[in-house]
Amino acid sequence: MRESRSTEFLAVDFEFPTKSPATTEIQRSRFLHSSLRFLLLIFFFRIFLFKFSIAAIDSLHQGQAVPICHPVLIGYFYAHNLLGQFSLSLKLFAKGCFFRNCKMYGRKACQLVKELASGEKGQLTPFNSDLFEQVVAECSQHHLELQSLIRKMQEEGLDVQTTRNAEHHGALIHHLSLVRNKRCLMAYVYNRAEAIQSLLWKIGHVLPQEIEEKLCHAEAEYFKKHSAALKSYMSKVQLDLTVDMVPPKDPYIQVRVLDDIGDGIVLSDDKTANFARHSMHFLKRTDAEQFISRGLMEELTG
Amino acid sequence: MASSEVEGLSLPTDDYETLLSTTDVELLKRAWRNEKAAPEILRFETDLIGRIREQIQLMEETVEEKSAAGIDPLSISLYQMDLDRAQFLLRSYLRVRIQKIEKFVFHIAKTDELWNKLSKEEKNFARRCTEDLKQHLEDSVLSKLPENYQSFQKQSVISEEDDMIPEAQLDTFVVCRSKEYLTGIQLEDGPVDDRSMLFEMEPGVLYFICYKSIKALVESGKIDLL
Repeated sequence: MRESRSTEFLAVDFEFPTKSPATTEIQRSRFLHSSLRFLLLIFFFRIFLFKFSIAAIDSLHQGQAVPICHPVLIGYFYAHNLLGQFSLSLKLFAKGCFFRNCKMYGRKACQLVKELASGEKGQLTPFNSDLFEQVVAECSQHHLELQSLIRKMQEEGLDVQTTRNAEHHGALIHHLSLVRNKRCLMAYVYNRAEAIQSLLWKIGHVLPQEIEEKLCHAEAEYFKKHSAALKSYMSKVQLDLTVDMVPPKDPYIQVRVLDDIGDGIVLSDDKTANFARHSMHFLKRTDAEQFISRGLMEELTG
Repeated sequence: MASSEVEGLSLPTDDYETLLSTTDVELLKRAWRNEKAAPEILRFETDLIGRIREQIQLMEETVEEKSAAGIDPLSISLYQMDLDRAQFLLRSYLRVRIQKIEKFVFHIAKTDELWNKLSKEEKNFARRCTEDLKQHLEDSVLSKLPENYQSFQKQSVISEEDDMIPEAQLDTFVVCRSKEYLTGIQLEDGPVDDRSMLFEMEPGVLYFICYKSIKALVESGKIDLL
């Protein structure tokens, strides 16, 4: 799917004046409490140092020898600087802790897409229905928030299309994150559908058990419908398109049977053959191909 | 079809090549190569495919007759080989087209120009494919999303164009060759001030060029893709 839109974003809610639906009140007050405490501490410490240095400077001006003044002053300025930087970095750290408490929009959808990208191309992972449901729930929440903001704007009598106030920006954020989630979900489902289509060409119309388990119900339905569509096309064209995947070098090839297929298999020239395990046969290429693609025979090239 | 067996003959090269290039197998080979290399679907060669089918049928009957008549197995296997190779070309041509349709089914169904390039059976297949895929997307995703966001073509009701349909990338670079001297090809990419630069192609020389620039020429048959 085209992810080329320039409005990619991962928004952090707290920067906008609208109330985040996800951050609970408890978390918010916990942040305020701890950061307030720390800031107050810094503030009083600074005041104390400042007062002390004022006293020291006064005594200098009055000509009194304050033996500890000079190094103390130096020490004060040094400590003040250090403390300033330190407190700044501590403030940022506290903000970072807050970030982690706060909910990042679009992260779960991003995880879904990453799951697709991390696997090998064409290989399906089991359908992650929990994460899928969570993203869908996030979408409906965004929609509720969006509607409530738009209603608020309409109640205030503002024109929804053109006003640029806080509610509008909040609504825009919700809309954009909804659209982003939609794109991620569609990409997930669409790419899996493409992998299923390629499975049809590689393996055939019947899927083995291990692969069936990885598909969700809707995907199994899609596979059946798609294979029916392909079969009807092939019957209209009167050609089987799933054989002959490789350019032919010889009309007949030598094969060795890997798994017991049984006997009495009817080949294209109406002869019956007995395919016992480890037996070697000289077959027509088109007959052998269907067994080779399923892994039941191998071609002897030596 | 018997042209693949005349390799040992010492005909003058010009005549031989013109003889080769007009046989149906050569034409099918060219169509197959173009279809494989092009990023989007090309026009369906209805007449060619019809003729090829008839020839394959004839060839099959001939092989059966000859093998029943007991002619030596070597020449029968040569005929059989020829038949197999022609069948492979036909099957691969149709297969490549079906896979392209599967990949870009929404875009093809939407664009008239591309829709007209399909054969009748391919159109039926494409119609069924769009319905299946649409149903699948709606069942798994779209029905669960809020109302204004349920379209599989647009991101939301506010989008101005259909931005959720994957399209073929016409900007891919392809290797091509032309048979005659061509001038006046305008390059689509390149720095903005050079965009009006006209480009010429000499016969028989390989060029690596953006597909968009030579699209019309490929369709008219003047350029071959490799």
